[in-house]
Amino acid sequence: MLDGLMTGFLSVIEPFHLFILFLAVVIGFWGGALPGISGTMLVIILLPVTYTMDTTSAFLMLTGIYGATVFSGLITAILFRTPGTPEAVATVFDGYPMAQQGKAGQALGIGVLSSAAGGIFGTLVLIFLTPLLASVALEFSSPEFFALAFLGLTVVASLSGKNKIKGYIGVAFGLFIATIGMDPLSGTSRFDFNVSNLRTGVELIPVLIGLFALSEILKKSREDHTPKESIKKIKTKIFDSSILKQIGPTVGRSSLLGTFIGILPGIGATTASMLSYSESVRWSKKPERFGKGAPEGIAAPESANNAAAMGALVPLLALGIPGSATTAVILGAFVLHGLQPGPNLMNSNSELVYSIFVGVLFLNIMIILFAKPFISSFMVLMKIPYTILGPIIIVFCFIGTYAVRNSLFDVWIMLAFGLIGYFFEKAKFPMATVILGLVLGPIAESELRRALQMSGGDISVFFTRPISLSLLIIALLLLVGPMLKTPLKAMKTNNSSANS
Amino acid sequence: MFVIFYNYALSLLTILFSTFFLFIAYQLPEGRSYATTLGPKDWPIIVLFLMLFMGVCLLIKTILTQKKADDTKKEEEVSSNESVETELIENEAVYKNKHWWILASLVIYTYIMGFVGFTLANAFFVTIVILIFGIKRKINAAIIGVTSTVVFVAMFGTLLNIPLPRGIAFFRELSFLFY
Repeated sequence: MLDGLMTGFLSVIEPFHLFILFLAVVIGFWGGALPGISGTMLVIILLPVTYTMDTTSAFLMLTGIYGATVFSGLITAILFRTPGTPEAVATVFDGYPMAQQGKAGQALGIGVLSSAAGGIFGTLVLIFLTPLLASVALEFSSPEFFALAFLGLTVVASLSGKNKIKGYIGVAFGLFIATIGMDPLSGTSRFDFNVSNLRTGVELIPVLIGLFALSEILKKSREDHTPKESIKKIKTKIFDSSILKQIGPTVGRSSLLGTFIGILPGIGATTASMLSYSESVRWSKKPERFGKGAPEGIAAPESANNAAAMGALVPLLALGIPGSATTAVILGAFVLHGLQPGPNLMNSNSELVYSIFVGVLFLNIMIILFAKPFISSFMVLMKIPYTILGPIIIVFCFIGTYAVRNSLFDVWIMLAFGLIGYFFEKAKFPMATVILGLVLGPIAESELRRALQMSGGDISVFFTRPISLSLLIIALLLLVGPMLKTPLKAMKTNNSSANS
Repeated sequence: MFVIFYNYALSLLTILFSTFFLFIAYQLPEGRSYATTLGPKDWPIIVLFLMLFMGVCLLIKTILTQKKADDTKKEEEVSSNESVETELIENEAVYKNKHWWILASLVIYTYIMGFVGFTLANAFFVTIVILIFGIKRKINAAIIGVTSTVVFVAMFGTLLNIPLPRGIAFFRELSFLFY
C-alpha cells in the first residue's frame, strides 16, 4: 500500500497533474457555488473535455470537480439561503440564520473547516479501510437498505420542530412526489396524466430550487431594498479556537456517519448531510438552538457530505458500484476511457487508483488553502444590491433547472414549487421534510418491494436479519421517543409534586 | 388568526389532495407478478393514507386549538400573539403585491422563452424584474438587462456549453450566432 501511495504521490505532484487538479478545484468552486449547477452536471459537462487527456489527468479532473462542488455549495447556502448543490441543503438551516445575525464570516469558516475535515477523514478511510468498509456494505441487502431509508425518514421528527404534524405531511408529500412517473420495478406509469415529461418523474433540482431559492426571492421582493448601510466585508474565520472546541465532536461524529453512508450504494451525500444534521440535533444538549444559527448545524452537514462524497468512491473503485449519481457518471467515464472499475482495477491500474486517492487528499488540503481567496472574490456578489442580485439569481435558478434535462417543463415545476414554498413559509411549514421524502422515497419503495420479492411476500424478512432489525428498532425508538417525552415529563412533574 | 387560517387551509388542501390521488392510485394496475408482494400502486396508497391521516389530525388539532381559545376566552390573547407574528412578517413586507408581479413576469418569461429563445427573453425579463424590484433609472435597468444576458450567454452557452433555449424559426437561427 505504501508503495502504491508513493507512486500516486509522485504522479500527482507532476506539474501538469497539479495544474489539472488546481483547475478542477477552481471549476468546482465556481460551479458548485452557483445555485442550480450540481456536481453531477459539472462532471457531465466536462466529461468530453477529458476524452483527449491521459487517464490520470482525466480522473484527477473529474474527481477534483466532484469533491470541490460538494464543498462550495455551502457558500450560497449560507449567504443567500440558496444551496449551490443539493448536498448543501441542510447547511441552509443554520448557516443562513447565522449569516442573518451578522456572523457570515464565522459560518463560512465553520463550513470550510468542517468540509475539509470531513473530506480528509473520508479520504483516509478510502485509502486505508477500503476493503473492510466495502465488505460491510456488501453484506447489506434490500431489507437493510429499506431499514436504513426508514431510519432516514425518522429525521422528520427532529426537522419539524414543534410542527410535527406538518412535518409528517411534508415528508408524505415528498414521498408522493417521488412516486410520480414510471415505476422502476414494473414500468407502470403513475400519476403522470399522460404528460410525457412526467413519465420520467419529478427531478429533485427543480423542487429544491423552487422551494428554497425562488420562494425566498418572492418573499424578499416584498421587502424594502433601499440601501440603508454599506455591506460589511466578510472575513472568513477558518481557525477560531472557541468554535473548534464546540464543533469538534460534531465534526468527528458526522465525518464517521457521512463516510459510512457514502459507502452504501445509492445513498448519497445529500442523505448523509440530512442524517448527520438530524443526529447532531439528537446528540445536542440544547437542540432548540438548531435552526436558529447553531455552529454545529453547519459543521454536521458539511463534514458529512464531504466525507460521504469520498466514501462514495469506495464502492466505485473497489467494487465498480456507484455510491451516488455523480459517481455513476464517473463510472461511465471509466468505461469511456476503456477501464472497468472494480477489484481488478486495483491490480491492473494501481497507479491510477492511488493517484486518485492522493489527488482527493490534495483536493481537501486545497479547499482550506484556496477557500478564503475564493470566498473573498465571491463576496463581490454581496456588494451588488438585491434589486439587481434578485433577478440575476432568478436567471441562475432558470438555467440550473433548465439544464438538468433541457426542459422548460422542469422550469414550470420549479415555478410551481416556488409558489408552494412561498405559502409553506407563511404557514411555518418545515420545507426540508418535503426534500427528505423526495430523496429517500425511491430508495425506501424499491428496497421494500425488492425485500418482499426476495422473501415471497413474507414481512418477517425485516425482523429476522440482525442489521435490518437493529436499524428498524432504532428508527422506531427515534420516532416514538419524542412522542413519549411530554407524557413522561408530565408523569415526572406529578411524581415530584406528590413527593413534595 | 394568521396561523390558524393557514392551518385550516393546509389541512383541507392535504385532505383534498390525498383523497383525489388515492382515488387515482386505486385505479392503477395491480402488476400481476407482484401478487405476493407490493405492486406499483401499494406504496403510493400507503403514503397517501399517511398524508390523509395527518391532514385530518391537523384539522382536528386546529379546531381544538381554536375551541380551547374560545372556551377559555383566550382568543384575544391568541389573536394578539398572532397579530404580533403577523406584524413581524408584515413589518418586513413593505410591498404587498410585488411577488405576484415577479411571478407573472416569470410565467411570461418561461412561456415566451420557447418561442424567442434565451437571449431576447432574458434581456427583457431582467430589465423588467429589476424595475419591479425597484431600481429607479430605466436606462440602468436596460443596461443591466443586456449586460447580464451577454455574460450569461458567454458563461453558460459558450464557455460551459450548457444548452440554453433557442426558440423557434428566425429566433432559433439567430441564437446560433451567440451560442
